[in-house]
This record gives sequence, structure tokens and C-alpha cells, in this order.
Amino acid sequence: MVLGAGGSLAVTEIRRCLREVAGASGGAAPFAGVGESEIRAALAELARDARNAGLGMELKEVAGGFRFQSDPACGPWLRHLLRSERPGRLSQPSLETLAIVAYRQPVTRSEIEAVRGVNVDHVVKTLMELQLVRIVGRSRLPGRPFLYGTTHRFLEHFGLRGLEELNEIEPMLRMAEAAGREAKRSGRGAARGGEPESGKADAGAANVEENGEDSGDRSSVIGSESAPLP
Amino acid sequence: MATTPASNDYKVDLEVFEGPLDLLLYLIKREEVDIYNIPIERITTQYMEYLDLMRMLDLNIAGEFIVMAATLMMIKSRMLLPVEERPELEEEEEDPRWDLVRQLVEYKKFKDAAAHLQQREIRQEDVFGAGAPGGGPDLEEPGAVLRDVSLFDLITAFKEVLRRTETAPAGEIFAERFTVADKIDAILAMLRDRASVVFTSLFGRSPSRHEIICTFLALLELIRLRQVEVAQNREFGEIVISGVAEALQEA
Repeated sequence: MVLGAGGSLAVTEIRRCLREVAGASGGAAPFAGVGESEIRAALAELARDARNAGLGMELKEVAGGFRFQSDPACGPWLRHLLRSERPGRLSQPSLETLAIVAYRQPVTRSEIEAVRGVNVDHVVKTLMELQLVRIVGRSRLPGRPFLYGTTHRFLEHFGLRGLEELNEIEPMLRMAEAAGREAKRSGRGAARGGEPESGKADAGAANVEENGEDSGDRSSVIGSESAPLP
Repeated sequence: MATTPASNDYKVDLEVFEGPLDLLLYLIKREEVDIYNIPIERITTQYMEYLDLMRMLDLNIAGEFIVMAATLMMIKSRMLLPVEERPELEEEEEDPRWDLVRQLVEYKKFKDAAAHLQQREIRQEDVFGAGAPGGGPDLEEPGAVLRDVSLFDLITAFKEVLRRTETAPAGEIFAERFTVADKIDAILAMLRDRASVVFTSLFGRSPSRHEIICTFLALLELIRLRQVEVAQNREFGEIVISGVAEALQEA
């Protein structure tokens, strides 16, 4: 199934597919009652087998689903075979802006600018054209500025399992769960190293806003940061 | 200040994508100072120097650079006041640098995250999914030309050449006027003979200030047009310029 899907296949999709096929044939088909954990176990075993067999391909979890992909070592040949040019890489300002959006989403332009210290209009526009960033809602602040977040393609481009993997990359910028989503974000943005005794609220990202609106249906929408990290 | 030499010449239009925080982080790294204990006087002086250089080169500087200059001045003056006389904006005393440091540290963390993302991006270039067509989106963007060598690295090198020239005895004033276009030709000609040249060799023996500026602008333009590449072997080391051969360019 993973092979035929041609893209990232989520565990939930696998389960649904198995159920639906079973239902269509009157409950007699095998795998009717298979649960998610069993599917995951089977996938883990499959991944192990692929690795051990030295097939030059691996089963990887990317962008919320599973897919077969080539071993990175085979890159040069595949690129040549598929006549795929090395895609140009993102510039520093783009990467930084993207990092801010990824860790702070949903986020407004002025919040991004507060971190970078410079206008980001052009960069955000480019990132949207590249479909790495998208509008996920509108803030309740005056002027109702747009809120930005990352896309599915963003996860694929960087080979990320999901947004939670970002916490492993840069734990100091840990994203908090959007519990309640009513939290003010005034505490957010404070540097985590060497905090002063005063513990003063962040003046840089002074745009307090609520993320009441979220038109996206992606599972991990990130809200305010929680307590200071050690 | 006098009118910029390039004003009635080939107009170089290199947008500066970096912001004042980028410059500050660059200076902090270069001066090897502790970000949590920035020598505000020294950094402010350096910052203003770079701002002057960018103006000299007629680069498109964002207004934020000027705002930051004012902020640095303010922090500097507050630090010069004896502790008792500092205006107490909050209940507790606070280091006037604190807001800025916080901003810098936060930005730096995002830069680190960006570096990690870039590593992943590079690794993903070699990975292809089964059944999916290869290749990602076309990511060539204007800000991408300066990679390993930043704009500030180039300005530092430019600053060095200016400094060395100023200390040289004033010679005769030559009537020759160089234009940016002339210098573009000159640099390309140099690179036809040699695979790569070192930054300092782009300039003559005792160039005038005007000539130095023209040469530098010509270099920036060639970088933007992707006809030359710049690299540094060590961080803050000598800058090497090499031509981009047609044959190496992918279609």
C-alpha cells in the first residue's frame, strides 16, 4: 500500500482503507479489525526489513505519513537519471523567516519582523509562492493582519516527520501546544538564556493577539510558549 | 558627504536583505565579544562605521538600520549615566542593554534553527520518494547569491582597502575617471586569465577612493549577476573571487 500510494501515506488512511475494503466485501475480507498500533508495528517491521536487506531504499515517516524513499547515497545517480537539477537552496533570510514561522505559528508579519529586525514582506511573499508558508487565519488585532503557518510541502522539503520534530532540532525554541488558544502571548519572545531578575515581559513582540481564528485543519497549531526553559 | 561616484554611472541595485540585527550579530562574532556583556561603546562605533560605508556605497539600507543606530546611541548614553541617575522605567533596575540582548539572543536561536533546517534541506536533495517525480520547486531567489560570504564580510574587506589607501601618501591626482562599467570589464578580464583572484588584487597599487568604490560596486554587481562567486577559506579570512564558467552552469 505504501508503495502504491505514491506519496506519504498516513497510518489513519491505511486503517480506513482496510476497514472500507472489508466493509465493501461484507466483512469477510481479512484485516477488517486491524488497529493503528498494529499498523504501526507492521510498518516498523517493514522499515527494519528494508534496512537490513540493503535495498538502497528506506521506509521513512515524512510529513505525517509513511513512504518509501531512496537511500540518500543514491542521490547523484537518481538526480542524473531523472534529469532533476539540484533545486536551488533557500537563502539565509528565507530560512530564518521560515524558522520563525515554523516555531511560532500562527504568526503575523509584524511578529516575524520583531524577531528579524527588518521588513519581511518580500521574503514572506516568496515563501508563499514556494508553497512553504500559507495563510492560516487572521488575527484579532486592529487591522486584522494575516496569520501565517507552514505547509505540508514544508515538511516534505525538509524531510520532517511532523512539526513536533522541530522541538528536537532546536529545543530552546520549543513550541507549546495550543491548549485553549486564549493565552496572551506577551510572555512569548523572551530569550531563554541569561534572563534578568526582573523577568520583564517581552517588549519586542508586543503584538498581543488571540488565535481564535484558525482556518487550518492541521493537527499541530502552536500557541503561546509555556514556562521559561531551564 | 559628496555625491556618490556611481550616481551618473551604471546603477548598481543590490538590495540589502540583511537587517540591523544581522549586522550586530556579525560584529559581535567578529569582535569576539560576549553577547551577554556587549561593550556598547565599541559596538556602536563599529555599527556606525558600517552604516557609513553602506551609505558610501549607496546600498538600499532599510530604515531599521537608522532606528537601530538611534537605539544604540540611547543605550550608550544610559550606560554612561551613573547608576543612581538612570531613569527608572520599571520597578527594578535594569541593564539598558537588556532589551537588545534579548532580541539578539532570540534572533540568534532562530538563525541556528535555520542552519539546522538547511542541513536537512541539503540531505533531502538526495532523497526521492517512490512514484513521485523528482525535483523540488525552483528556489532561485535574489537573496540567495551571497551564501558563505556575507555582505558584511565584503564590506569589511572594502573597509580594509579604504583604510590602507588613506594612510598612503597622497600622490598626484590623476585625471582618469573610472566607471563601474569599466571595472566590471576589468574584473572579468582578470578572471579570464586566472581561475580565481584574491580580493585585494582587484585594486591597483594606490587607487583613489573613487576607484575603490567603483571596483567594489562592480564586484557586487557581478555577484548579483552570478558571473562571479566569492568564498572565504576561513571565517573572516581573505576573500577569493572566481569566475562562474558557462560550462559549469546547469541548464
